[in-house]
Amino acid sequence: MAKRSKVGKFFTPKTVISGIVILIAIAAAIGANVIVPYDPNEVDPRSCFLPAFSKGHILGTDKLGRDLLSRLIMGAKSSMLNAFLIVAFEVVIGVPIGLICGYYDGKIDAVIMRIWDVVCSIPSLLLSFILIAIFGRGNFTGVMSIGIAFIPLTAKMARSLIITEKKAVYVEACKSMGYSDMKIIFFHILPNVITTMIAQFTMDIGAAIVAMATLSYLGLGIQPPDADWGTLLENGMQNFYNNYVLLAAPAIVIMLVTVAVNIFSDGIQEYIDPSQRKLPTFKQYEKRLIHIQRRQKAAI
Amino acid sequence: MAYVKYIMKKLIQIVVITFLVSLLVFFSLRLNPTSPLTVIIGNKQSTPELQQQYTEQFNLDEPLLKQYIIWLKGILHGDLGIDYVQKQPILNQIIDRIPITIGLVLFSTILGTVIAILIGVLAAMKRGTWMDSALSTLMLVLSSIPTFVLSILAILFLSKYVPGYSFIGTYSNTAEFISRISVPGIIMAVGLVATLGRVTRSSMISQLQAPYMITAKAKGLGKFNKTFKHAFHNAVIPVLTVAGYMFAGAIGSTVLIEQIFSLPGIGGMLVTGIQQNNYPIVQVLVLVMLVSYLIMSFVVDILYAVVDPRVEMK
Repeated sequence: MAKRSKVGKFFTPKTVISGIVILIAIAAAIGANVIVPYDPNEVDPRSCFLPAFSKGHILGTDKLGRDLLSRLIMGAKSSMLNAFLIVAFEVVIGVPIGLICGYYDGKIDAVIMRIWDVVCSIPSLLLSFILIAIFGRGNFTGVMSIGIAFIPLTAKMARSLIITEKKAVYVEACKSMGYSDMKIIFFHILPNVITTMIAQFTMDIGAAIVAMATLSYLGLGIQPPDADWGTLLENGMQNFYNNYVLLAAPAIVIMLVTVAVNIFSDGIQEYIDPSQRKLPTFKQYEKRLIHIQRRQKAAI
Repeated sequence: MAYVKYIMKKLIQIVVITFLVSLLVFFSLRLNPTSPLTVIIGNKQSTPELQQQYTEQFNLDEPLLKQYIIWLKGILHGDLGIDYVQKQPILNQIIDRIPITIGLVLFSTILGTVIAILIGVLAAMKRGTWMDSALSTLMLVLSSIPTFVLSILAILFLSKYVPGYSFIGTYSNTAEFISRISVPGIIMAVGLVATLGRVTRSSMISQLQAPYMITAKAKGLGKFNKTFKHAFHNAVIPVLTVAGYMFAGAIGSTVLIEQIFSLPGIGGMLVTGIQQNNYPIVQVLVLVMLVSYLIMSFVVDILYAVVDPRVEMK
């Protein structure tokens, strides 16, 4: 432990502050049904476009008299849940594919990687649009299409990790003890490489929030009367001459959460991999290139 | 000879990928349960004669494979077909709308790359000082703010404080065109600056520490010569590669920004096409965006080898 504290601590101001923001968002998402002051879909024609800080409605109300704070909290529930679902989707499908491809680098690997190259050559937002055009609009199809669009890069990362990891001595030891390939891959190699990927997954949560909000903003994601932060932004955009808080509040919330998630993942990256703080070697640089391309694809 | 072989291989790859994606897009769009006839007829009274006429006009009674072949043949002859809703030739619609998209992409990439290189080099030269950490934090924050949130804030600001800025209508002359694309272009450039600036910084830092810099110092070169003629020349290669790939990807990312700023570009056309189940437009636009992406990344690959003689083409 002494060695660790020399290289880096997990609880730096960076991770603590961003962690608190993320925890608040998660807590709001989990407790949404309990803590909302009003029913988020309750229409009240007598109190349309109440300004912020008016009596009973801290953030005011929208066109139909729905309480903005309640809608933001319910939006947190769907936005965060969707983001976690997307990342879970990409992990559950992408990581095993990548691991298996990297472990048996032969014909299967070559074929799957060719297919991946084709899929990767489509910009990921475009890919989710195509998938939505096929499966129709909606919350579930939105989650699925973004998840599918995220899979190839996850698989590539898992593959590049296992290609170096499978040459380790312990893998050879496992083989000589007669363990099956699946057992070696998922019980011995996976725990060793998963920590390296955690920072990436954290960052993907931020990217997933943005991607889902984008789809909802365009009217292709979650459908009314349900709302996530993207829908709220879209509503606010239509009515911001009446009440600018309707636009500013969801914009600020999305910004805070995504910035916090990215800073947090940066902190995790520094903690897990202290070499990142030194000058990057060429190999790390190459890895970072993939990382940057991915981030740029996701950030649109 | 290696060059020719490499270029041929890449070109064949592009053709194959385009063909596969066209197959995939065409057939998978037909999985959607909405029937094309309902989209074509739209709000009009649906009579058997009308149905008959449209079925013949759009070859809907042919088997899917034949429809695909007809469509592909049309594309190879420069006829992109007629869309379902407006019943206008798609080629003309694209030609009307593409200047905005190309303008946006070019404007944002050039602006973003120049600013990113300036910021990155500055941060690398002042490494370890407050200026470096301020710039790095700024870039981290900027790269994590979603583009569309940023554009919404820009709209909010402009509509309040810049009364003359117009969000509606198209453009009639060059000045108007530039004023229309400037704000969205700047916002697209921000995302680019954030990621590219970090690449520039790290690549510049590693070059500044390379042994040849000590040689340069020993030769008695001035600071300007050392930084810009030696280190910068090497550091800029990876930056331009990433910039090229981002340029290629930007064609896909204009979709969102055009929708937000209600610009008449091909991105907005794609979203409307998806919302209206207007398959001919969707499949053509997906191919257009894909081909431009593939060609751009191909050009980047070639340029990379031209700029950096160490890179082997294989």
